[in-house]
Amino acid sequence: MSPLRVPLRQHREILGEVTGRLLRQPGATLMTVVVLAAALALPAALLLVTDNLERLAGRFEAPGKLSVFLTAEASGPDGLEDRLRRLKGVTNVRFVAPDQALTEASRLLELGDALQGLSDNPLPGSFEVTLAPAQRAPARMAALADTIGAWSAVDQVQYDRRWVERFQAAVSFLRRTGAVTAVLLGAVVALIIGNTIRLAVLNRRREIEVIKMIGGTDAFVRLPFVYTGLIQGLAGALLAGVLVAVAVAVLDASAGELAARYGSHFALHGPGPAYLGGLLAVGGGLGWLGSRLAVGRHLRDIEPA
Amino acid sequence: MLTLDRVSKRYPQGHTALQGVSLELASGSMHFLTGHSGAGKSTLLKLATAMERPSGGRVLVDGTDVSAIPRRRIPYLRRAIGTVFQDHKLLFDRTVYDNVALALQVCNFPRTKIAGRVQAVLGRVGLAHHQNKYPITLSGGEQQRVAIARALVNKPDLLLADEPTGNLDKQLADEIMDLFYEFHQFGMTVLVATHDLDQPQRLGLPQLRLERGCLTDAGAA
Repeated sequence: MSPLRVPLRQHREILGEVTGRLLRQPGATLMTVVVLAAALALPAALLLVTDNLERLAGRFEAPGKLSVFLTAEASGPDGLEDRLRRLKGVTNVRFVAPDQALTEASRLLELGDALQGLSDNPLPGSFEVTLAPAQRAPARMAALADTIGAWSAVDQVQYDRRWVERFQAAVSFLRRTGAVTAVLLGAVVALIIGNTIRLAVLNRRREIEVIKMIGGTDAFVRLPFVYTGLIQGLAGALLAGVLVAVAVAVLDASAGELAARYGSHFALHGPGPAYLGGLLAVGGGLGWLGSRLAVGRHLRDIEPA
Repeated sequence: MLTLDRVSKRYPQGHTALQGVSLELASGSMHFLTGHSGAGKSTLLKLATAMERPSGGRVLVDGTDVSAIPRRRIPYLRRAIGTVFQDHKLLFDRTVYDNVALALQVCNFPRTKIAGRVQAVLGRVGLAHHQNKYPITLSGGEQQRVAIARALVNKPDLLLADEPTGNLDKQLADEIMDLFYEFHQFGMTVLVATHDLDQPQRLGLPQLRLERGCLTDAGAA
């Protein structure tokens, strides 16, 4: 029978009774809530950490230079140089002619005059494009490289983005780890609450028998237990939220200090209203689910005799 | 009010508790159900409240067939029937008042009206001044009166009692039975299972006699 068949007034009465019962056993209630909070705080904290790391990754500056290699057929720098300069955020454009590139290459590779013997210069012409600092975010760099790469005279565009991509891959790995942890610990939360409720049901077996004998519906018997699970889940989530908020407050100072040493400014994003709301919803939902399953399994077994 | 039509009950272990029992209790009547322990008295009462299901035949309460009543409707059946057991099934962590009030709470009775009802019924069973005590502090006879008050507070049409005086001495047993007789005189249908054969004679009431699961014609007093 659905709990909605129990009138609102009775919900209120049962809620009052359940709260009273939990408060009359402060030790046991607190233990359960602390265990739940620990299980919820770990994935919740991981989520917050990955959020902040992602935000940080978005601010990393790439070296700020793009190398634009031209196709062999490309005539020369004239039109392209102007087009590149007109792009938003471009501060400087330098043309590197094929001959110049060959000279630089032999210098870099310490080949001496060996390359001078080539009858044909294999290197294409290229532009070295410097970007304004505000344009150096990885996403912006990638977009710019794509735009330029699509031009007909351009063979390819290169810039050093490997380490930024590695960092982002590491963050996304951390996020997935967090998701797996969240699923596992979520199941733990539901099981802890389910077990607590199972013991409560067995403890109150006689009461359940009597209530059934005098005409109490399944919903009436079930509701106090479901509310108990719900309240414990919510309390656990609330405590987890407080733990995470405290941890953020403690870490924020050192994160700011660390950023300052790199001449930058960075403040951790703490748990916001949406984050806390989600945490409460998950905690309450798992509490409801765990107790509902536990009561459902035992309710049918207990009959007056 | 309560009709059994060729009812039989076999337990899964093979024990046969009732065999082809037919009876009809008129509305407002009072009967004693007598017989030795194990004759099937408790089983018969449990069939009426759907605590057991018959293996054959039909059980009707106030015209409704309860032999195969759906599980979800059972609570509403039980609200219409007052039940009293030998071990009275009181909750010892609640006061007398709360034990009786529980029967109204499960029916979603408005809280403001519960107090008046509970006090009235406790008055009728002679426990008006005991309402804030815990059942454990009461005598056996008083505890049984609390159970009776709980069975009656919902104003059922049918009252079933299973050995309600089994643990009580003669004088207390008489008092409890007199209480049932009083309710019968107010128009309630009452069926009391007992192995005490003096009570039907003392009150001049008909008895239904069960022997090894069959109804015999021990007849009316």
